[in-house]
Amino acid sequence: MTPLPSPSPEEELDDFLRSVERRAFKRTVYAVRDEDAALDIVQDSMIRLVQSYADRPPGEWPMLFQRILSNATLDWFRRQKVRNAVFTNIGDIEASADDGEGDFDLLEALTAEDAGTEGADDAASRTETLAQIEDEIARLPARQREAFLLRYWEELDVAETAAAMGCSEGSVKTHCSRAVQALAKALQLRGITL
Amino acid sequence: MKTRPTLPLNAAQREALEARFALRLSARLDEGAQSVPHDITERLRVARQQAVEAARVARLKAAPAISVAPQGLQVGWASATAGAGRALGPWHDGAAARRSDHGRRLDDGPVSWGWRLASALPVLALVAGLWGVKFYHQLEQLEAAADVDIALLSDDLPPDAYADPGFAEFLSHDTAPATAVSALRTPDIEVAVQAPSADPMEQGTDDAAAAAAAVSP
Repeated sequence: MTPLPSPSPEEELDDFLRSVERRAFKRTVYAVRDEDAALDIVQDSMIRLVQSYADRPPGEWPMLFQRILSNATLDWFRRQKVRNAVFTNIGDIEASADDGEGDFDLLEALTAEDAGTEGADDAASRTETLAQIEDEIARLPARQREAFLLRYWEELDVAETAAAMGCSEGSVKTHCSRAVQALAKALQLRGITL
Repeated sequence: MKTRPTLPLNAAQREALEARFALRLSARLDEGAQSVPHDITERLRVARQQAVEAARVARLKAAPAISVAPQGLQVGWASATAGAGRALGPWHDGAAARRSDHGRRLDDGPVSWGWRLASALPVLALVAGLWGVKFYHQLEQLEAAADVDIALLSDDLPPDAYADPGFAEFLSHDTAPATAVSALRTPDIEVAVQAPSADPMEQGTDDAAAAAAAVSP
């Protein structure tokens, strides 16, 4: 039995980019709320990755790509000259989230699904629910959204998320916790249960 | 009225609850990522292909020695033709460059003089072929014109020609007999001219008889 030929570097790179491109696009859409701009940012990130890090081991690509994508998104905000406004809004939203954190019980958002209500959703309502979830994620402060998506959607560990975001692991945990609290509260107000 | 007693959660329990909620939310987001519109997926595919192509070009630039093998270095089937490759010299360099990666690319480096000469050969062949076609056509035209002239000059002179003033003028010209002679230098051709009996053409008949005598072999 002949061994399978090892994939070429281009094939490995193609497989990796194929595995992350859709999530990268959605994640960028949540941030910039513009599909065309998100596509440009994702393409720019792909080019940056292959130009600078194509010779790195494939195991390092996920974290590198997420960091490049975050930087490319920030570059887009800088080019749009709205970065100051964005971070001002972040401060406002974070303050309001902190105020209400103690009054919210996360179990309320989780126990409802155990009663079996989700199974009654049809395809249309699921699509609508998904749109509302994505809307709430897009409303999150930028750092909280980034930490939440990297940590739980991209399945990076805390250290990798901290490296991708350029912050401490404690900050990652804080951002993730606040993001979960804010999402659970917002979705519960909309009547959405998971 | 509370239906469930609220118990204080420790840090580990709270973290586990958050992770559970986040993973369920991520599962929903995965569904959304899989239902991206077709035009978006196509644009992502094109972006991915461009990135992979950029990586391939960058890799080739980083290792130019792979695409242009040094003279005498033989790989695989080329080893069987090592001697011939050395004998070909610059031709062999070009062959190695083509063989190494499915044809020549823009970043393969300078072209050897052998391949430059080889690329000029079709142009030279085309020019030579066009010149040959032009020469053949000229030859055919000359042969056709000669056939017409021979047919005209070897035919019998019709009697009406002697009633034509223009023909009389042609015969009365000093150079006309010489021209006619030079045009009818074929020994088999004989122009038979009979002298008419009419007086007005007597002078012209004499000249025609003289021309016929001169043409006869």
